[in-house]
Amino acid sequence: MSLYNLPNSTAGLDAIAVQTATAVPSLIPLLLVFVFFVVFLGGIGRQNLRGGSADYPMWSVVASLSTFMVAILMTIVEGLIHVDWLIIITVITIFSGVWLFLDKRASEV
Amino acid sequence: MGLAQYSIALVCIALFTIAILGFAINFNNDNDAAISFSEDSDLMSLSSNANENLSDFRGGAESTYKSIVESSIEQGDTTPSGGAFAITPWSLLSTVKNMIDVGYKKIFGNEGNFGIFLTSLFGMMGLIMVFYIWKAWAGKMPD
Repeated sequence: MSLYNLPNSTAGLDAIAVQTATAVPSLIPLLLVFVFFVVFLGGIGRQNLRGGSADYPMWSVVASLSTFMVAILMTIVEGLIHVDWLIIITVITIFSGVWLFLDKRASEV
Repeated sequence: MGLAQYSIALVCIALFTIAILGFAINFNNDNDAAISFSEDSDLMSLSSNANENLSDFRGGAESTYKSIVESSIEQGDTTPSGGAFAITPWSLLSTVKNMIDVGYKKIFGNEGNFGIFLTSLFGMMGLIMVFYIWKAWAGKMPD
């Protein structure tokens, strides 16, 4: 028994992605985590360099929405993402919004 | 945050939730997606509850506006005859409560293990409130 069966590359790129995600179930969640932290840490780091401080809730919302958009595109193809992950990402996005709106100082909202 | 900022923030949170869920549901419907939000009843009910809470808030805002317009202060009185003005954001608070409930259930499951978090949070808020009362009463800083 082989450890990993190579995907059928004649069926199209989406089939490769689905078969890889089926063989490695943690691939898609880790990809989404990667997207989130690239935007979140990248934005915070860049804003820190430019202005000396960073708006953590804002970048959390931007990163959550970026992840949400990638996840929602994955729902078109069956087998890429489970509905559980989609719901967790949606909940995290909503919580980021809660953090952003309740974090603003009185002079800003 | 003052009451106005607090209410605006809660309205924005409710609108943000409706926008996110509405976009996702409509995206799934428009593109006939394989994975659909309609598979999960909790998020669908959260969306409809947020709509309902915002509608309740609109009704509360209208009645508060009406009470302000129709109020009067009699000569010699210091308070309006219509009673104290208040626009309570309870319907908006229930939106946030629904979000926390659904989020807690979706991320941590139906078991009550996460309850200790909310219990600790409310306990800490109560302790800080006691500190403030003690500060106002005894005049000492609770640092």
